[in-house]
Amino acid sequence: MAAKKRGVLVTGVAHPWGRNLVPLLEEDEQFDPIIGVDFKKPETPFKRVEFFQVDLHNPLIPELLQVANVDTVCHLLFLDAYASNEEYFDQNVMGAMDLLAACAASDIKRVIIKSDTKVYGCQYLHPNYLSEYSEFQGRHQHRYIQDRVELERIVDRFSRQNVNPRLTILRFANILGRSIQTPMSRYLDSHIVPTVAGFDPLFQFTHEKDVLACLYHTIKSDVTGVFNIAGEGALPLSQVMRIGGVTNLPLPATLLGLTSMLWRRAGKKGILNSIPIEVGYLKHACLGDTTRMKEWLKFAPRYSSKQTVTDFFENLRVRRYLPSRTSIRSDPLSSEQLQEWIAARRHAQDYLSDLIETFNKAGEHDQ
Amino acid sequence: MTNSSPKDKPEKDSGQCQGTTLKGEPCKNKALQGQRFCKMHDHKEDSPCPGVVKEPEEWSSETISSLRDILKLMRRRATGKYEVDEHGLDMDLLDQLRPVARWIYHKWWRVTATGVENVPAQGRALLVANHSGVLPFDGAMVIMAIQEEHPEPRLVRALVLSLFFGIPFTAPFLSKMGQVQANPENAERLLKDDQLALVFPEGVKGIGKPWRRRYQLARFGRGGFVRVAMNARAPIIPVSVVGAEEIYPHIFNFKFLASLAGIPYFPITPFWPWLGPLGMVPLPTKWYIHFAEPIQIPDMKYRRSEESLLVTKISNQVRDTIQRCIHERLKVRRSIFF
Repeated sequence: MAAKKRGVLVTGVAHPWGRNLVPLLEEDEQFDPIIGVDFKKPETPFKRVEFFQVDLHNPLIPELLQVANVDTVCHLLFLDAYASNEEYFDQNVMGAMDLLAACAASDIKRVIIKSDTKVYGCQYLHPNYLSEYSEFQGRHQHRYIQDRVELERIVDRFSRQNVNPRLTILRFANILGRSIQTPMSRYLDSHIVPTVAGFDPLFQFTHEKDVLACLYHTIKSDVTGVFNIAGEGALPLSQVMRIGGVTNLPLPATLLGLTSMLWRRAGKKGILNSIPIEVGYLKHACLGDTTRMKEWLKFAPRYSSKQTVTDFFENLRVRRYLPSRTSIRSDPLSSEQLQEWIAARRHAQDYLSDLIETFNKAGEHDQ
Repeated sequence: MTNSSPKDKPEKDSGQCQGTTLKGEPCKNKALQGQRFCKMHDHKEDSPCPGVVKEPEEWSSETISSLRDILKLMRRRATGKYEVDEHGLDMDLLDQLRPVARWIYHKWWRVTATGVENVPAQGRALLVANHSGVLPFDGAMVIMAIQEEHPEPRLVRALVLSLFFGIPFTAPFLSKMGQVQANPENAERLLKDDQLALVFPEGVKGIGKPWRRRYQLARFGRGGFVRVAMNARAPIIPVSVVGAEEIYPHIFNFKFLASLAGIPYFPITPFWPWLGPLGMVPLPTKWYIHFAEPIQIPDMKYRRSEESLLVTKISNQVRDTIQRCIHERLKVRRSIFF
């Protein structure tokens, strides 16, 4: 029995998350109209996605949602900024607000939003494992986390005012992977990594592949609610450093905070600025309780936290020896066209040779 | 190995040690009285009979294997190939500190533990103990009691005052030793994971109480520990610790300094702060730890309205049990030191 066709709208398809998720959806026949929205053009073309280069403020998006046969919206567009950036805020928060409003106006059933466990903030008074209902605490100076918290607040308010699109929020723990840049991967991608002297917090990690698998799983299932997503187990920062063979540079928390603040003011992308969001996260753990993920979402990450870290560092090590081949890339679409063309040509040739043969036979008969 | 009889070794021989250091140079230490080697190179315990001394060139297989173990451990630590549990317990590191804890347990405080059979060998249980002493050594000793005396040693996860988890160097050390921040959520998580959790419901009020109020239990919080046990369906085991009250005679609480430093109490003892760091050495009192019979908590799933009443009732029952056990011990105790 063929499953019911479902329409999906994915935002941020030109950005890494959307770009990597879309091929998975394209492979699945169940998702029929796949609509991609982003404000910039993707580097590589899509197979089945109907792409529109519009930003989320565009007044045509509500109309698009009403007309297109879409029931699920997957909001992945989130720009990761170091410094305070009004334009990014406009996309990350205001854009999401407009998108949600558009969803409420049309008959969208579900909205899936990708978020981060860091929104809970880090405090030593927190329980070790935070449930999905914990409040967002902690002072945030870093733009990335400010925008995330702001987005979550807007989503929370929206969910209290509207019943119509049911919201699924996936809060991922620190994401690491070979192709994705996250605050955490930038932090660990260095020979000397600053840490806070006298603290060794636990960290949870999610593998990039698990993130995509989880997004796909969530789009396919009908579950709604808030979920923390993280690999099994947690690692102290010191162990992460040891696995990676990275030298850590213990500094007093105040010095580290001050330096990173000055650095950020100066708009420099230094090593101190890529501390995973804030100094506080290097002092106290911020871990999500994944019981709901296992019991309700029924999703099991394939990589544990330790495997994720090991895999990340293995890729870092081998990266130096790989030839860079970013500029020359073959287009999957044109190769498909090429295949079709070759097949058609073959078919035509076969047909022709067949014709010639029969003609020859006929000629023989004539003689 | 040369088998030299004791007669071959004249007493006057003792002078320079005949051992060889790890670098291959002759040892510069003085030999022990009546022996050819110094303390470092003395292998008397390893020899089959007294007086027979091993040649320094030939290391015993035990020495080599222990050295190999140390190298293995260093390698494991350096490459991060060790397991840490979800609350940060590092078993590798814990094993390294075990000898120190054992020495304190057996030699310094000479702990007598009774009733360990009341602690289940498997499954969850919530240990509830009285809190005393100015620094939380009682938690460590209750953990050691289960480790040393229980037929099936288990690691008790103590719930430590959250204040300690904000202090640099203390916070990572505590979590590596398997301690967890005191929090109903954490306690429930541990119990649901079928572990033994240890709580001190008195908290700061118990640990920082003055000398004149020793062995008088403070208020047992708000009964949060009963709720935790109820939610996790875990039995409560009352634990009484006698002897910990006297390790630091807490005569006076310097509240002004405490509020300046942002800590709950600043103790003044006959030794601290007058003797400096020496004043921090706890007195070698004799300790008694008693594990009372577990208190089973009835299932309250269908009687929600009675829950609050039961919480108070069980909280008082646990408190009375601990107080009674302490008094029973104090009745027969003649001196705090033996």
